[in-house]
Amino acid sequence: MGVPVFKIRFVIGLFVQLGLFGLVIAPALGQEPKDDRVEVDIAARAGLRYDVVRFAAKPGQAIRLKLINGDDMAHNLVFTKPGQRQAVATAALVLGVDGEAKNWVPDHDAVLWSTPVLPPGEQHVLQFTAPVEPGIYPYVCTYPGHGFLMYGAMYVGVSMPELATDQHVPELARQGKAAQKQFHAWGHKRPLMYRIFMPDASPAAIAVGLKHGQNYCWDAGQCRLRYVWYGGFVDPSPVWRSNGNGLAGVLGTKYWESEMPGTIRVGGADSEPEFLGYKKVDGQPEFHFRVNDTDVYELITPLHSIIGIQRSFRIPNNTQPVSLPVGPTSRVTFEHSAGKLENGLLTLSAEEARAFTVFIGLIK
Amino acid sequence: MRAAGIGDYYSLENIATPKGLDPQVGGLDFMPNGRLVACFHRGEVYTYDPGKGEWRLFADGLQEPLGIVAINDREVVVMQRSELTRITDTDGDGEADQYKTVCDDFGMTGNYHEFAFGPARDARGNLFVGLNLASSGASIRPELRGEFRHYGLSREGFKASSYGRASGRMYGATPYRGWVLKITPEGEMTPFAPGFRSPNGLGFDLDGRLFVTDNQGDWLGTSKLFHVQPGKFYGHPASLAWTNKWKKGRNPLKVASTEFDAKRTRATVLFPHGLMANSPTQPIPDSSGGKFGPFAAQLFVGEMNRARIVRVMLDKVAGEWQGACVPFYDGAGLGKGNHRFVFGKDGSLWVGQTHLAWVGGQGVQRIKWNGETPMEVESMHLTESGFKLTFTKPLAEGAGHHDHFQFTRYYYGYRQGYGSPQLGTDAVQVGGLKLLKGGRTLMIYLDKLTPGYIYQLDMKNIAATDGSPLVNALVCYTLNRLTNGDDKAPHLVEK
Repeated sequence: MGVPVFKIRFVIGLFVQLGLFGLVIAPALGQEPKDDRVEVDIAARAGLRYDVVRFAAKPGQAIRLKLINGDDMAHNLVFTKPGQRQAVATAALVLGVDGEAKNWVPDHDAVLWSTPVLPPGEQHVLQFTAPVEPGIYPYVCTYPGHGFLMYGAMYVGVSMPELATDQHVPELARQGKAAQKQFHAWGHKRPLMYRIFMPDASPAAIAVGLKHGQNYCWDAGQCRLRYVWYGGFVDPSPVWRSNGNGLAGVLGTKYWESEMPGTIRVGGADSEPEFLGYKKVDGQPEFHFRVNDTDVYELITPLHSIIGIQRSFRIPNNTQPVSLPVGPTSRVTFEHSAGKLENGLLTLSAEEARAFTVFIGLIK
Repeated sequence: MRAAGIGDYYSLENIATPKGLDPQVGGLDFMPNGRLVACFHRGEVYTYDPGKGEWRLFADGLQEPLGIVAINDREVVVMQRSELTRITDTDGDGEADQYKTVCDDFGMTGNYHEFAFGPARDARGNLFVGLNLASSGASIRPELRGEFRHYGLSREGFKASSYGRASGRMYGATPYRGWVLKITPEGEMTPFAPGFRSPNGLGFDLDGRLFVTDNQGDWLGTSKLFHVQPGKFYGHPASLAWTNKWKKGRNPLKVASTEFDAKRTRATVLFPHGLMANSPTQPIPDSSGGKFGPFAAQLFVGEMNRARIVRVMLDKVAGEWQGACVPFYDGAGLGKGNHRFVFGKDGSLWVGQTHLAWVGGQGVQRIKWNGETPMEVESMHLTESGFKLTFTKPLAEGAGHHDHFQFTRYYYGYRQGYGSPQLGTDAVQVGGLKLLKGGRTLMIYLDKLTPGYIYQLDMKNIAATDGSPLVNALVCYTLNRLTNGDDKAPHLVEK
């Protein structure tokens, strides 16, 4: 556990890099291959990523690729013609009700080879012959919403740049910081939460890793969501390896941060929020706090088809107007089930505020 | 005479912990159903079935939990850095689902040294916790919880690299750092007593008295055990900024130590540094009723820096508690970092260890008495003219020589500086010895008794009538006051 499933037989000209650890495996040179075939295992991992983000092949070489779904959601893998990754992923988004039947593979000229959509734990072998035309051939998960983050590239007869500068792999792989180490007896699990010193939050911060590689930092000192990111969870070792004189590291990419101070406001008067704890709902904390003598509950859950979260608020028997600072919404997908959004402030009537939801998604 | 070891009388078992767990123990208790419950460094709470040797995850995600009390088979209360939390398994599946904040009415600067200790629970269910001061080993973080208030520095001042010169070695900058707090079961908090530096150990004795340890450093010449009562001041002045009487902005670093000395309550027992304990932890009374050996109702205190558990023998003198400390368990398989303790129903003592990147250890051990009585000092009482020493077994013939009992006295200075050397060291002549009827109690007459000194007794060649040698031959008695109530000790203060 914790180590990407990876196995490869070396052949001349084959050169594979593991994006996660920056590990470089160089082949033996100067020998004629007997079995001139590339064999590569690629696992889908939490956080919308493949564990192998690039590999090399010679023009016309036989390829045997095994896709292993090691994530908790469905994925596929589709090869496209050079430069066509985004076009194919976008075409998949509009498949709508036909999507499932087509394994979310669009009818698009640029599609070369594809696997079916694999449920968690399944695997599939794809065999094909590399194109004769040298080039960089992308592979991508076309399950709706995944393609913007979950991709890699097959280098055919073209030399690879340094991983850190390779624009054909996801940003997280370039940064080499998506990996989650194992810190507990239970291995890896999500949802997972830590109360730990976090950057850009008060000392009473809470970090939560939801399913599908989605994460957030909620501040128990201020009773509000501070920021959201996708990728791995956190690296707690700067805090845990010492006496606490450090901050946990965010593993992934922040895509929303509350830039407005203050928590939800109930009624007219300013009031210090009082944190009262949380109850686990399917392993996810539903926070409970009190503002202006009113009990407020917030449960944050992951969205399934896109990178994003849903904030579900409950204010039972509420009798006062409510306003929620939601911060910047221009760079994300932002939706709300009720109320009026103006200048980063969502205002709701007393009745609307008894139960409402707010969505924050990565893709604009 | 063969060397005696505590391992001749007690057996020690290492308890395997789950693979993959960082087994630094923050707290130990027993649920009524007989399951051990323990909290660990990375925020997990596990229960353990001693019969089956099986661990089971109960809760997780806590912030450096350093104390746990089991309320019932489904509920525990845990002190974590940020709050006291009631954790409940409401659906009975063995894993907690509800985490209720009992009390977070205190500040945090994010400084690493702001550990939070406890809770210790009194007979009425009130919970007592201790809040560490911050350390000048680090500054404060950009965001705080609670009001900022510091006697020497602004928040801006804490950003300067020279902050440590004005902050104080250990400092408080948010409410109630350096305090012991009392919290009712409903969560009502009352600041209970100020004056602590690093109170990593709170416990009630069997008579309901609260004892708290504190760690050698600034204002603590050596480590201490205090009998803590409401409103009294226990010596480290950084916490006084959060008392009503303290003038806002007054800098305790610039106040004469004589002023604090006049206000402070002295330690019940001092642990000589380097000799007895460098970093004392939880005090726990022997509640085994004799199943753990001949020390029923006495206090044991953990020690981080060596493989030792210390024993305390209290002595009420002129209405106040003072007393002596003696090593109890030394080596014999015990780890370092002895942090948290709980007695099992069978009278065995469970030990949890930690280090938090200082000297210490990790893991869980269990100590059982084998039924043989070790030869030990059972109690030590001050008399008008010396000490009354009672042993667990009658003394062998020939033990009554003066040169078997050597006394030295010294004190530790009360000062802003870090720790204190032993001062005023002087040998004290034994003027006479008298063995009382039964052979277990020895009256020792000393030439001079002066308040404010530790009287260190080193014993040599002592054995019981059954031939068993004395196991622990070092006893240190903290003489705060004489039997006539005289407690004048002006020499303690470095002005």
